[in-house]
Amino acid sequence: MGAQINAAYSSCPTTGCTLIVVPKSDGSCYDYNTPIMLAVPGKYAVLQGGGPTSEAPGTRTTAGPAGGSCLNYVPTTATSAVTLDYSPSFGGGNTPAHGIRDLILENNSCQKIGGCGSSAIGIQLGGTNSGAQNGGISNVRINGFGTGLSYLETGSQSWGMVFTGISVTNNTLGISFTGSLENISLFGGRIAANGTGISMTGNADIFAHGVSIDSNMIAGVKATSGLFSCSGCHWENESIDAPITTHYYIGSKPGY
Amino acid sequence: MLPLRRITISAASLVIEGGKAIDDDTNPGDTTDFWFSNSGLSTYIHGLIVYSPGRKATQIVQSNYPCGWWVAMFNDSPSVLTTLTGGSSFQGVLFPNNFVGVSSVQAQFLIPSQGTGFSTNNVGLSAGWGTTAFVADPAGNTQRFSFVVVSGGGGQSLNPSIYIYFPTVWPQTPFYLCKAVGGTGVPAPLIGEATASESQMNLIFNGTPVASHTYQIQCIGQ
Repeated sequence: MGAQINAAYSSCPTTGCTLIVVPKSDGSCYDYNTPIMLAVPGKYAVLQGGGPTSEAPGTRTTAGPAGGSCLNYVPTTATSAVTLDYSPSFGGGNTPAHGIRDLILENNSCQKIGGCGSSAIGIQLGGTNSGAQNGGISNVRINGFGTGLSYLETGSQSWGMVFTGISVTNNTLGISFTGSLENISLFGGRIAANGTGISMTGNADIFAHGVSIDSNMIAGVKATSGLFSCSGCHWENESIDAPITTHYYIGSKPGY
Repeated sequence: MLPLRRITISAASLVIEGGKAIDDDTNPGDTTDFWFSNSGLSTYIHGLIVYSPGRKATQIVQSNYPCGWWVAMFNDSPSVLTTLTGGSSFQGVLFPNNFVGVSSVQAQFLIPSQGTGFSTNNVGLSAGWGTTAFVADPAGNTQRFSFVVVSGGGGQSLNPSIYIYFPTVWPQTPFYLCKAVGGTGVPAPLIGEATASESQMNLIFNGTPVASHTYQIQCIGQ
């Protein structure tokens, strides 16, 4: 499926297109091994699920197998399941209507609190160009990776992105913000059951609204710099099993 | 509008507006060190509700030097979460559930609407003011008041007393200054302010009043 999506992206007009992942007829996730690379400057993309996502019955602490509009990236090596890096280094920052929506992206079917020790990245933003500046990721679950979402400081930064109703769960690190990111917004959703929920190592300004930061094993948010602003957020730690830390936020200075 | 390539201030800042923070650990034998900790730039928390059914916390918000902090939160578990702020940073202010007033005003006590007015019932006279002496023209309140003693009848004597009963009891012993400031009689020095307790004081008029003459007394206390 990774190779198919790359091929479809290749065939898009130079300005980009929408790539729809139609759920498998048996409802299970697509396993894939070839990283999805949407990274031609100026060739924007919407990677979209073609139906609802699903989750089979599980337990109070363990989710059931995912299905529906679902991509399961099998490798656990230091690779990226999806790379969004199509915004030109300069000049593409005000382009709307691109990104990822209505999809589950998981790593080797891992749904364990704190992750499964993978080194893989779920969605990489940046790397060579400027990521997906001003793009949106909505109704997407990212689970089981070493790092669920990773911002890289490259050409400029993938600033201005809006995340709506995302679930970043069961990763070693949920979201890694590096670089001087401007105005990243999260509306609703949850950063839950990761090792660390959010890491901020650059001067990002992150604005969260109505987000749950729940049951992350080391810290909800760990920041050496930048601004984390949270309005109407929910901070919790489930304790059905062993009690989990109450370290919802740990801020410091670089080098500490 | 365009992203800043580098921002020179490089330390963590946390802003929380509203929301709820919960510890699900029900064991009262457990203790955690903190919920929110910052040794970076600043912590601003306004309107956050915190709740714990069991596990204690050394502090909810730990602010370590040089982090500044401003914390106004509602503690829904005051018997469990007994300390809301802590840490080595002293540059901050806490507004807990029961905060009332403004911390920068310093006074022994403030009386809304100036409290109970000063009346003739708040003054007693000794026999040395004369057999028909009385008090008139009361004004003010506990912290500043004025009245007039009218000497009358016979029996005036040297150093008569004035007994003052404060309309509002002080929360601690006040300091007063009183003086004969007017009237038709010859003013004399007043002493006795040092006798003041939370509820009363006894003044002495260092002179001999004259019948039919008036003596206006004013006092200021704090």
